[in-house]
Amino acid sequence: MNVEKDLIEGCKKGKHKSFESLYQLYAGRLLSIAMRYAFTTFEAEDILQDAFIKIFNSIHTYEYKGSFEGWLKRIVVTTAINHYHKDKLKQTQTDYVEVEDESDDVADVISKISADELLETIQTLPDGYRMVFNMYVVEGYTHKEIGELLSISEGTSKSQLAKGRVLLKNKLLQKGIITL
Amino acid sequence: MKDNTDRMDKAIKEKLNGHEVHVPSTLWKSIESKLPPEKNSKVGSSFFKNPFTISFLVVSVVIAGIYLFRSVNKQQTATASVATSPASSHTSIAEHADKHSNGNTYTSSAEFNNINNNPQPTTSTAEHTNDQQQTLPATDNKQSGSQISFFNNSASTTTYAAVTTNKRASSENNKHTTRVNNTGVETKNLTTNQRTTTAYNHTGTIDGSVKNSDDTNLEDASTDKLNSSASGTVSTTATSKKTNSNTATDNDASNKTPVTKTSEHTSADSETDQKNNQAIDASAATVTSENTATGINDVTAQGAQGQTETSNTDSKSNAENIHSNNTSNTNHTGATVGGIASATENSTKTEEPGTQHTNEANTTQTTQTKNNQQGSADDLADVRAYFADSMQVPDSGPSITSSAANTTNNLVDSVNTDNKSIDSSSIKKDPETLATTSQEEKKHTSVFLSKCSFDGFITPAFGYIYTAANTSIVSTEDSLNKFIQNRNQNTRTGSGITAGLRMNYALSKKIEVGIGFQYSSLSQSSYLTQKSLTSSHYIYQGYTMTDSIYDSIQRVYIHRQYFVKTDSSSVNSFTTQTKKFIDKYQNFSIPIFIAYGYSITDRLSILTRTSLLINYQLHSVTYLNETEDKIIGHQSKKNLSLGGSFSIGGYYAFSRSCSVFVEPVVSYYFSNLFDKQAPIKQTLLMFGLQTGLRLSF
Repeated sequence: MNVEKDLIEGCKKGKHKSFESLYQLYAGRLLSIAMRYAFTTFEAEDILQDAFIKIFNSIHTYEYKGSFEGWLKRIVVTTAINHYHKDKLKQTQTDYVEVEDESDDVADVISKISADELLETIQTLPDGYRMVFNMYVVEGYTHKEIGELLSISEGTSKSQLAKGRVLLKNKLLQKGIITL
Repeated sequence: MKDNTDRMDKAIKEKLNGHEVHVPSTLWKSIESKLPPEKNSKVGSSFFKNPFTISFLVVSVVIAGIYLFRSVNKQQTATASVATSPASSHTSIAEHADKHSNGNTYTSSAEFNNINNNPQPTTSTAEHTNDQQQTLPATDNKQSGSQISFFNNSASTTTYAAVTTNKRASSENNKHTTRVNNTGVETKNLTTNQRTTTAYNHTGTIDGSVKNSDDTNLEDASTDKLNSSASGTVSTTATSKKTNSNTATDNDASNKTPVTKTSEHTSADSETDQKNNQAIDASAATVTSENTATGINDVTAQGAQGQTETSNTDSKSNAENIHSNNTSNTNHTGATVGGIASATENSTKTEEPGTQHTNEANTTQTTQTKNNQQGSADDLADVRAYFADSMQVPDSGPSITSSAANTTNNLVDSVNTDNKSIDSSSIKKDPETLATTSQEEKKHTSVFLSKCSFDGFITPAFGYIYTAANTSIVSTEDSLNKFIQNRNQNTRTGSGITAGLRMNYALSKKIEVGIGFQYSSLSQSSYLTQKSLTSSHYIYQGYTMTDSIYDSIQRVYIHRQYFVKTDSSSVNSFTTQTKKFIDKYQNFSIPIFIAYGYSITDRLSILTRTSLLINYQLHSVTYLNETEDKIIGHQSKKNLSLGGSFSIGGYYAFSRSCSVFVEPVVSYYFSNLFDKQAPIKQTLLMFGLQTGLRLSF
């Protein structure tokens, strides 16, 4: 923790070395988050790059309230949402596929697959589904917050979450990764 | 149903919580490049680590130093030559003045800025403040006669004359003609031949007019009947009890016109002698010079043009006046006894073998001044000589008034006994002599700068990267040789650019040495047919290989590591592909060179240059294909390497200080430019056509 604090203080003083160390410490985890929101790895790297620049520029506002990693994650998610807003065209091109809920319990299945495989599957979700799914399931946002952040209604958020869940299960089954 | 959903969400969250993915190494560089600069970073810490900036600073400092040196040198050459080195400056004067063997000192209240020896137009401002006294020791003349040259940017002719306007005796002894032209001032002294010194304190009458002609033609001056103004009767009243003999010997080294001055002065008493001496010392009278040099070094005493006339009947006041005007102080003590203003005037004009004073600022103007003076021409010559160096020149004032020696006794005896005729043909200076003198003078100033020049060049370059076995890593084998042969045969000529600056220092007229810095960039492509490896072969000894090179006997050469053998079965399964390699190099080099030049015409010359190149490899990378998305070789260690170059160029001078050149050059970087750990090494041969600009001082 002291190391982290030293790094933060160094970053607040504008030292690139400290920021590089901070980057090396959190880049992997933050890129994983970015990849959940991005359709491709390239897009995820863009998100991460923008996020770290934001972090460097706004780290002086960090007052050690709450988890520093949580603060970083929020910046990454916010950056990913901004990217989502920038790419309106892609959103309109997303196909919403109705998938029946298999009602299978996939929890055990998910535990058997690797995180990379799960991540790759999530990335294949349509943007809207993926965004809502990640924000609700992983980040813990409420539908109201998601609606505000994504400029959609609360009902749309719920709908896309449900559809995203079904689609994710279906994709996992189609890939044969899930072996029930 | 809901439970299943919750369990799924929980499982996903747990699975992804804390999950890390591999982050590309290039991502940080991309981020870092967009970060604002460090607030507390040391000023220029990274700046000074850059070899480009270091070299740029070094060259800049050198150039600035040279300019500073030159600037200071100009000023000091003018001012300090008298102030700090009176002897030398007086030597300069003596070149144009008669010798004073009597050891008289010259008291100068003027600080003049141009010494006759100064070949370059100096930029110091002539200060004539009358508040600084210089004691100039008597020096030996190197030249006889009294040629006095003044530099004047305004090109006005400077002539001063010691003129006496005594009522009686008159003599016309010295005639100084100063010629000012584009290249300097040429002063010619038209003197009576072999004058016997005369005390200036003799009061006499010059019946003749002072011939301060406005002639601008030397030839006209030479034909003037100077002695026409020297007539007159001199009666001396001095009762001499002492006889002072002063002998001034003119050492005319260059002109070979030695003049022996013998003055005998019998003074009534020593006091009178002293006074007379003062008067004599002041013999050249008041000088007002015109200095329109706008503060630039060249001072032209302008006194001719018929304005040089001073009448003094009071020797004391005259002497003081004269002294205040920095006239020379001769030691001719005592009044001339029974001096008859014989003033043997020789119409023959003697041209002093003075130097041609190069003064670029001067415009062409020739003025001839004839100075008539009573008294010894030699003394006047001394005075003139002294004026030449310690000339007191007000900042303004268009004229010079030369007052001749006035005596307290109202007795003037101007005796010119030595009637050694001087060939009038010597009036005209030998151009070669002038040129030689000028060249000699040039050597005294700005020697270093005049030998420096700076080249800026840019070169479209064509290069060929030659691949060979890195014998320090691997012994040559047939398989490796085949690969190398294949590589060289399929390598195409690369293209690039070289640009840089260099400083040249001329050791002689034909040989120069120098140093500089240059940047070279080259890109070259080659095509190889090889087997593609699967991902399982990309890992070797802990290193992840992105690609490798394969030969026909199941050997894989990996760029970044030693080559390794693979089993034939696996290699044979590889598919064969033709791949394109792109090699890119960026070097920073410091060339140290020697060059030999030969002038074809005044403006055109050729130059051969041999350089040693000390290279600092900035960048070296080998890409696999045209998209350059796969790096298969990278020289991470920026090692120093050596190279050499040879060039033959043609230089065309637009002006004295500016030339353009075209210089074909071939360079060979014989050190390994490739990864030092690779089984192959690469050397680079480059051809270029340097085009650039040379600035000279």
